[in-house]
Amino acid sequence: MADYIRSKNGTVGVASPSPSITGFGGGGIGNGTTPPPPAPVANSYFTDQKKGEVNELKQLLRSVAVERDAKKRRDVIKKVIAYMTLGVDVSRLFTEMIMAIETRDLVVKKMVYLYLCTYAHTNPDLAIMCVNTLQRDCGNEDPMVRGLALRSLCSLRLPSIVEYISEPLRRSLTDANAYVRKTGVMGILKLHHLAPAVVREGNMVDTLYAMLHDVDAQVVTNCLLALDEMAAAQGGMSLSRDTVLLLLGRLDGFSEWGLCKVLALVRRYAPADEDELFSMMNLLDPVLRTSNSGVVLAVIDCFLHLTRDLPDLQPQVYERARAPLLTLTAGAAPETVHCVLAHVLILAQRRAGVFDSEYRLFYARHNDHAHVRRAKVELLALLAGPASAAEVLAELAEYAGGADADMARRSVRAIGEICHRVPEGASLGMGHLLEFLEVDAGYVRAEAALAVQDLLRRYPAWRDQVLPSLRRCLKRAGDEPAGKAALIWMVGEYGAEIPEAPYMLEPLIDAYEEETNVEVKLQLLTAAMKLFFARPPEVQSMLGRLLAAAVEDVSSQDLHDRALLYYRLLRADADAARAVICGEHAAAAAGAAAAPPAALDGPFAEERDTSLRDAIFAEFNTLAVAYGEPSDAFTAPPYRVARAAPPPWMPPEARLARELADLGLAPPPSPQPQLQPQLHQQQSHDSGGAGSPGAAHAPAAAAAAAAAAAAPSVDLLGMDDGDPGAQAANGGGGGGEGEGGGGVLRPGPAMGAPQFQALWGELAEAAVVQGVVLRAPAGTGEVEGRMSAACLRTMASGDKPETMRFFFYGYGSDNPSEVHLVQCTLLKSSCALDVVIKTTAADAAPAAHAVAAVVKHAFGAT
Amino acid sequence: MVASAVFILDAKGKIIISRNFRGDVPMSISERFSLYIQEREETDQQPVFTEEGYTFVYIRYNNLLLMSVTKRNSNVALMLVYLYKLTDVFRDYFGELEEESIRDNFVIIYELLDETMDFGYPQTMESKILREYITQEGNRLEVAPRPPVALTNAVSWRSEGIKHRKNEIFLDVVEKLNLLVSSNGTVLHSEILGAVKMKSFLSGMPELKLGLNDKLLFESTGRTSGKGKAVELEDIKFHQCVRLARFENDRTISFIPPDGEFDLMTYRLATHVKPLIWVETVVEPHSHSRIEYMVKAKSQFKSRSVANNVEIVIPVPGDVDSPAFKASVGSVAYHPERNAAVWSIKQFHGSREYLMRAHFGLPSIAADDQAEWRAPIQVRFEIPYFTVSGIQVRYLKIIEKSGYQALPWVRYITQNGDYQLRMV
Repeated sequence: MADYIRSKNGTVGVASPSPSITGFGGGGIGNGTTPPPPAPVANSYFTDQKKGEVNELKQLLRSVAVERDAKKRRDVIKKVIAYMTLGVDVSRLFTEMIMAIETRDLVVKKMVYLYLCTYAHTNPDLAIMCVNTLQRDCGNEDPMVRGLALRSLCSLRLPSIVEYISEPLRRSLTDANAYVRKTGVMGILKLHHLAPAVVREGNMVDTLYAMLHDVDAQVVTNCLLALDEMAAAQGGMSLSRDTVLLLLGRLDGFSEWGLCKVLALVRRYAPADEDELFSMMNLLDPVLRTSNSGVVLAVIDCFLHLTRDLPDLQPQVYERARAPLLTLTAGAAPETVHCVLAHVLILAQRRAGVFDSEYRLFYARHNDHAHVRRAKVELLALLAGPASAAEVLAELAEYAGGADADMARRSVRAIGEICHRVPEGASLGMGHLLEFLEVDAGYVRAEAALAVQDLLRRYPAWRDQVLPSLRRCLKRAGDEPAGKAALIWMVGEYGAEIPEAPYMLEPLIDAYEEETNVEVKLQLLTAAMKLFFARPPEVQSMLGRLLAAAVEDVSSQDLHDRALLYYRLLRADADAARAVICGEHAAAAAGAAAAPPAALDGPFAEERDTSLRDAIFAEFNTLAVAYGEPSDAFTAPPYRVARAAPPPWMPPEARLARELADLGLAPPPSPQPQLQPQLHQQQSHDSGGAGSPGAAHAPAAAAAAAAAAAAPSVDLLGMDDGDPGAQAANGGGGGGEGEGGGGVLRPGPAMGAPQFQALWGELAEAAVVQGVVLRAPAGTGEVEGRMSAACLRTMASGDKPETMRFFFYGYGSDNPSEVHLVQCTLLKSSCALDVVIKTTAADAAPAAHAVAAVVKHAFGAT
Repeated sequence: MVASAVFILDAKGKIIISRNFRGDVPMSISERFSLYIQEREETDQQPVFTEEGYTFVYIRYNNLLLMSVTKRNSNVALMLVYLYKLTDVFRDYFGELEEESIRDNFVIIYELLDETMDFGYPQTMESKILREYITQEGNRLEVAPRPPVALTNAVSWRSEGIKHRKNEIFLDVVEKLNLLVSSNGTVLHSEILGAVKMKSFLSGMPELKLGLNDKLLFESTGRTSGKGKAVELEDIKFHQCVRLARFENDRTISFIPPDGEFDLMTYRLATHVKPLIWVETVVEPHSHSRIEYMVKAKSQFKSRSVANNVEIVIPVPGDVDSPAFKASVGSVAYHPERNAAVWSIKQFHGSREYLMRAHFGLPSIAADDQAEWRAPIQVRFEIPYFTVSGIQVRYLKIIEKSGYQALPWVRYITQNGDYQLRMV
């Protein structure tokens, strides 16, 4: 290609193709990445070399159009593309290139189409001229050409040609060739970005739902991709149980990429019951044997989310995930390892112990990439347990002595973390840290000082070993401000126990002017104050000097303000100042006799906050994990996927059953589930019927549909109002209307457990009432009988050794649409009764209290 | 996953070729990327990073960078896999993948990019299939282009109607030994990464069944392992052609192979392995004058096996001079560019022990950082006809409806993986 580019005006002609083995594989795009260097000729004729070249091409294109020499034409067009690749603007050739579109040479066609897609936006008016040809090609007898034309037509990204796209797109969806169909499906997605209204009005979404039954897996994959992306604002496509089963049924047919999409969708599905959950997991389990890391992570993600509400199953899932993840870290490319380690880390943080036994796998290798080594150190800090702490600490100590400064710092920090988390390893770790306080590398000393500072708060007993070396360390603190600040903090905090403490601070105070770091100065100020309260006579004068200097210091507003605050505090009330500055040690400081500082219990406050981790975990297998921050931090709003309130992981019925099982209760015989109105809409998608706008696919609706679909007798006939039989029975059972209900309640239709659960979750507590029952009832039946007389129907009840628990519901007597939900917990030993009422009544509190009175009356409670 | 655009760049981050799939990022975005590559220390570079809402995911391959950009919270693992598969496809087409091959074949690269990804979603990435409709000859004026048959096939990785004159299939069982030994001589970590690689030249649609001495299989069938021992394979991963459900049920490995070369399965065994080649060193540094090494290499496998092309890489300080070596076998060379002395032994028989002494001069003014050269010793080797795990192919059944006889060939080999011994 070099000869094409360097040629001058006139000499180009059709340069003989450079020697090459293949027909058109030869003749590349030159060696430079920038446009060919313009020949440094003084002649003004050559000033715009680039333009000259483009003009030449223009001439050439015109001449070959006349000559009809296929080979020549291909070479010229290739040259245009070569220029385009080099970044030369060849958009001026648009007209000529459009002329070349009429060809039977597929490669030329591809090149011209590529050119069109690249430059269409610069010449929208001209681009319309080629639409005709593209449209015609969409009907070409060769499926390759049909697909190619369709793909290009949809990729022009011109709003003005939308009207020409719809028809070929629609035809493509029923094309006999799968290649055309899959291209057409993607075309709909492209069209959606260009003109969402057209897709909506054309009912294309429904067509795509119908195409989920296509014989070709790639077509199905593209349907899923398109549907899900188009519904991104609503949290993704709607998923019925049938769809999920359909996809799971043909899992083998999908390519790895398709599998990933299917898995990402299945993750959102809420199985109807545990049996379904287990059969799904059994189907997915073999997929863990795929070598594609994206697929493996997707399966794990699926498992984790499917079992989210099943705490007994979760450990097994983590167990199952371990081996495949470790294999991915063992043999893969560094970039993949980077990404997998981030996922391992998030799993290890969530469930301690899963990877603990494999800690040796995460020893850093000399030839590991820096980012991999860092991730490994972080993991080691997390995985060390009582048994392995010694070994891990020794390994980390090795890194701390290595040549890589960043790695050394992280290793020292990791040692500190292990000391906090694993008390068994603390003394060993402390030993390492004390050694580090003395090494040559300043950054290691600084990190060690920081780690020791935190550790002393947890293990105050270590003071004896640390404090003696402080003076030496402080002298060598040098230019690591953070480490220096940590050392000064220790002097201030434990000054009462260090005989020479004032004389350690004094040189620093005297050299105040030379110190440039604000953090160090602030720490010095506070330390001097603390020390002053511990040993006033020795410190008074130097504190005075320090305060004076700091108040005068204009380098930092904080510093100035803090110094002034201290000064005024001291002047106003020394005791108050002591309370403010020494905090909980105030008493100790006052008593001068060093009372041992209290050891810190439990984790530090920042470690207790798991909300960030939870947010990241919710986005498992995405960039969020790699970055360690939720996606909102790095994506702009238009590119976010709506996260609707997470659907119930278990359908309400199953969840209620589970809750009751925990109490040792049995759920009542399950009544007919009541369907949400959305169901009909959802079903229409799956049957491909003329349906609703694609806007309404809320995942909640999907979940509801899924839950409903799970029940054997799905109510598709619009008989939403529950089982008439049950209603009749209720009428009989509820017998004495108003009798015990005190006029508050009246009988109403039976309610399904899912509806009860959903309502219970939705409503806020309207009233919480306590009472004492005079006599514990003999059994749940007794209570249920009494409640029934009071027009409260039983949803569930259970009897455990210590407690009885009941769920009731009833309807308001004035307004039958008011529903009251009641939860009663009776503690048998003390006969204490807890009543929680939730209600849909507009005037919630009075209604709830009225109901509570009825309940208490029925219990015979006071 | 969604990738807005894919770039192939040179080592400095300059674009060689690029394709914008979604049009939602400006192509000038690659300038930001090349700044990142040029201005950051390599140790500060991450394969995934974000700047102002753009996420860059990239891999290095030879002297190339393959990068994709997205503005969404995409599936990161998948983006990486796509880039790697792309290198596989390119390699399959052009032999080696480097700057030259990209420049020479830009038209095919465009074609391949367009077929492997549509609107940011990966499509077909099987080079065997791609080859059916993107050929290097390109001149297709006479031949009516065929639609990609396999796209509609039940088996997406193999087309119908493949014919070979001689029906053969080659099996290579390759095991790599990863090892990390601490400076006090304890094995910190060892594992075996195995792969069964196949080269298939079979006609038609053959059904294959592979039998291994898999411990779980033996247990499930109640068979005793016979004379050879059975191996417990911990984590097996298969090529997509293997019927996973079948394996899950009765541990049978059955499949219709793709044509040509592929990795049928990979496995990992985290067992404790005796280091096959053990190296001990004694270093005597006399600062400002000289440094001496005494290296002992010992083979710890059966004497009838032979390790070929053994290379023991011993790191030395960067400022040494006048090397002098004495070895009881093989040859030693000083490689200043790697800061290492390399002891090469063509054939290292089992249960042997060899010695090597090295002597270097040191300048009178010493470099301050001694930690630099304390890199671990690395060993390279290849032992044919031997697997560390003891895995064996018991049979490979080939059934095709035309009933031809096919010949399976099996080879075993054990190599070093990441094999490091830390120095004292």
